[in-house]
Amino acid sequence: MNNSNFYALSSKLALAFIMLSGISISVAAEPNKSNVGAELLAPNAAFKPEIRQRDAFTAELRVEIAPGYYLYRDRIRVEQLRSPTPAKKISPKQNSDKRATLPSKATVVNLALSKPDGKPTDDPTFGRVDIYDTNTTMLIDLTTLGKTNQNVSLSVISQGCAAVGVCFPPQKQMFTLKYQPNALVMGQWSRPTNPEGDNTISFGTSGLTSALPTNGAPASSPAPVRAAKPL
Amino acid sequence: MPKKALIFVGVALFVIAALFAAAILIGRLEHPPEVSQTVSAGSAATPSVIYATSFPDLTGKSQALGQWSQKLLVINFWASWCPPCLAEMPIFVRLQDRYGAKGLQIVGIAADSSANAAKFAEKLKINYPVLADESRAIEFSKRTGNRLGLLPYTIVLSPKGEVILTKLGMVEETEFATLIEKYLSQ
Repeated sequence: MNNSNFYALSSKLALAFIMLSGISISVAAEPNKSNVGAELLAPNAAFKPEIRQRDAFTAELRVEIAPGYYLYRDRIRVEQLRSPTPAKKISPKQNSDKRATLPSKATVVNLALSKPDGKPTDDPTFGRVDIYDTNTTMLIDLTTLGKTNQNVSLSVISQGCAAVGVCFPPQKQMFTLKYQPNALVMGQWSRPTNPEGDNTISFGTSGLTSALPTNGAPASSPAPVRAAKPL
Repeated sequence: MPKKALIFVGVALFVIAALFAAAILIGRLEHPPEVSQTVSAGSAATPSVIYATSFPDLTGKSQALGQWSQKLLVINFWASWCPPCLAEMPIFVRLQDRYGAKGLQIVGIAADSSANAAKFAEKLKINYPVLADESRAIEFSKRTGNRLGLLPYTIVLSPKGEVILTKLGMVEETEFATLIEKYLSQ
């Protein structure tokens, strides 16, 4: 190697070193721009619920929970939206009874949910609170649905946080479950019909009281689900 | 120094620098930075929108945020379902107590029912105005830069009407007090 080649190679190496060092320093010293959630997942990516019919009496609610996120066990509930029944045709004899001509209103019913034990955590304000920070499966009681095939409108309401110290508002994710009481095989997994979720959910005063013990006492338990066949 | 030795040193320095850069980049990917405070001039938060907005207080009376526009205004979004929010609020109580007479005004906006907000305001001995609107608070915080609507979320506006900080996650008391002192002394 002659001198000119040597100096050319040396200067290129030195230049590369300076540039790489500069990149390293600028990466290390870059101000944190994650302040407004740039690094955090949206709630529908942090918590992914799915539902399927398991048997005539129960459905499974499976929630995939991203690492670094958790749901509060006692802030998960499942509601069924029951459609209004249409007005019945009535005979002239019945016409005097006006109540018989009116359709019923749509109602929302809480379905009993059987949840596995959560991971106990100590909260300075709420005392012992159980959380799920890994994928979890619960059983939804369907015994109130009757014995006819139907599309069932369900909502899963939940609330959770990211371990870095921020919390999501309560989320509502809606599902349509094709309920077939006489099906011989498990149903297909249903995903939310509103993938973006709805965060305008209210726990209300009573919901908060039941969900959050203030003195370390255990939170109220959901109604037990009728015994189901083993998985 | 012989030429070969010089080349060896050059290559070694190059490799070291490359490894250093790679290690930092990999570390960043594996350990995303925690949420922290940033001075965010030019962020999505618009002071005129903030000052023009009103929320009901715990008695139901509408309170315009603009009434505190001459103060160093700290707006803290919180909710009773948010443990980090509740853990953070004693910091705001202390700061309001320490700097209130010097021009600091902290205002809490609860994404909660007024009943829940009142219950926790009493429990935590809140010494600054608490407003509550379960349906609008999160959406309003999103308009001011809180992209995912997470809590706790805090905005600081200078008496000149500039957004000097937006913060997702709990504030760090000493750091926050330093920022307050800096802007109160201007």
